[in-house]
Amino acid sequence: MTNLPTLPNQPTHLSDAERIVSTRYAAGAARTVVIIALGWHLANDLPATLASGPDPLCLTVWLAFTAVGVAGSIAVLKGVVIGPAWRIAGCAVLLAGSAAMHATAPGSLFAFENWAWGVAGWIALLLFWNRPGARHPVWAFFGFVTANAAISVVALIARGEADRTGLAKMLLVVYGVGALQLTLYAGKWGLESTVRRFARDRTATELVRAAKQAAEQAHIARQDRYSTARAAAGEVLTGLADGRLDPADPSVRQRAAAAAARLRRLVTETDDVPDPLVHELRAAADVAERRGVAVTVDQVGALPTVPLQVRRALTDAPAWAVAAAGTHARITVVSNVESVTVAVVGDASIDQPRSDEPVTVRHDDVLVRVDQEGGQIWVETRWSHAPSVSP
Amino acid sequence: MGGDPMEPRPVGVAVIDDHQVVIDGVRAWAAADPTQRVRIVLTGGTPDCLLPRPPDVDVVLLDLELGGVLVLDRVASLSDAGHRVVVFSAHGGPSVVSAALEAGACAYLTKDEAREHCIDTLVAVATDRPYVTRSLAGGMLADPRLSGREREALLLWFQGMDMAAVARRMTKTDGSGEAITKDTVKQYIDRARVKYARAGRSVASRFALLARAIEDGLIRPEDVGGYRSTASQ
Repeated sequence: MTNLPTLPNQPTHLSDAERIVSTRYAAGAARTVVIIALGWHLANDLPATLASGPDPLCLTVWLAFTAVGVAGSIAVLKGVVIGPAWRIAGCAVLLAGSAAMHATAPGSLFAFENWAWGVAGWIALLLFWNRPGARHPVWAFFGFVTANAAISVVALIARGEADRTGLAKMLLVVYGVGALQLTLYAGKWGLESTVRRFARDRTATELVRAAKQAAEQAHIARQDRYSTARAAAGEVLTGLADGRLDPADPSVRQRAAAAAARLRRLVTETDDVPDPLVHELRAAADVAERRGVAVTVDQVGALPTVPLQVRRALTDAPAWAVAAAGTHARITVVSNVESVTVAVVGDASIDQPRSDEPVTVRHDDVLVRVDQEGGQIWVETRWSHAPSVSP
Repeated sequence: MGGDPMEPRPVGVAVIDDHQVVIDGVRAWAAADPTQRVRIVLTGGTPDCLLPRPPDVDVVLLDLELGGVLVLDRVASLSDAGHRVVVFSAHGGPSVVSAALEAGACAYLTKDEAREHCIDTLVAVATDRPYVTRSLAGGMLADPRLSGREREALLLWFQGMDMAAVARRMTKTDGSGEAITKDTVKQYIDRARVKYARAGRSVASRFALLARAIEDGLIRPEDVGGYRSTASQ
């Protein structure tokens, strides 16, 4: 009974939101159909069976219907999909019970004791209830209702009760009960598809909103990187482009070298490496080494996680200093839980004062010291942060 | 030797390295020293020739990586035999530096800084005086026993400034705003080195360093015993 049918359009694509919403709405309808079916079977069919004697056939049919009804109810309440073979077997039991009772019922077909054909539809409804993705669930159930009615009409004719009163009574029962069952079943599908559509719409809206938010964040990050890059290289490039700066001028070349070091640092900023700070400093060192500057990088202490904005402020002035070095530069990173200190000591390659700013990125928690004396440049950036321990 | 009897005898150095080019390099530095303070008395590819200690060897310059293996255990055995060992290495990582010091090394030189500091280190170590290279400073910076001033001086020295530049950046503690002198910087750094030595293994060179530090007035005798009680506070 628990074997799930592999229907082609099984709605496994439902999102979590859809599933939650449709489950909540479906649970109410499921309880309603179980109460109607089992309630009728207990309140009407049991007294009728007892009133029959109890007749052994009548009792057997009642027990068989009970078994099918209880199994069907469990499936309905737990959301289990009944396999087609089990559903057909259940329907066969119900139709057979209905036919057997018609055949043996003493007196009228409409007697109190001939209860089976009246309840068969309700119990069958349990078997048809959970059919997610079924193409025509209402029609399949309509088929059962029709089969049950056909058996009853045949029995009516066979018993010779098919006069005007008998046919009118039959029509009344079949039409009234069948209409109720079909309305409940069709309503259930309508409700579910409406709820699912609502949930799907809401999920789609949320996705759109999230995508918009992500796009906005990406835009802000891009703007941020763009403005940093512009601060690093924009002025030199503009000057070179419009001819205000002469590439033959050593101070211009110096500024271009500093800009290159900063751009290189920005490029490496998003690299996924264990020590991004040292990685970025090495990138600046790399640019200087290509100019023939001997650069050493020395690190002491484990590096804490340094936020991006702080990292930029920590590496900006050192990148400038490395770019300014003429023959040698020493980069050091000393860190402990409370602070990270980056320093560059190097020799200046030009004797005239530098016109470009040593610091283009600032951060409130980063202290920058820049010192030039004789031929030596010393730059130190220091980030102090209180480790997050409760007092 | 042989010249003016008042001239101190040159420091006898044994160079242990498996690369002849390094030995030749040290020889060249010794020869280039204007006052010829160092004489290479013994060279070899392994430290085996140094046990027991030859009388004319004052300092051993030992490559920490012989045949591709870190020979920290040889640092310990040479120190135990009474040698003053200066470790010479291509690596300057703080953990290797402090491991070498723990094993009993008197000083640490990376190959980058050797040209500038090799001869001075050998001479200082031969007279049992501390000599802190930048790589050694890096290894000592994590020491929790350092005072704030000692740490500041060590940090600036590690960053690559010369002693005079470090001095200009450190002001006197009396609030006058005046810079301290180069000698004071050296004192801070040497004192930091001696502090580091107080906790090391019991080797002769370490006691000699402490004794010389007391003699030079760098520390007081009671400072030496004071380490444990300070730590237990």
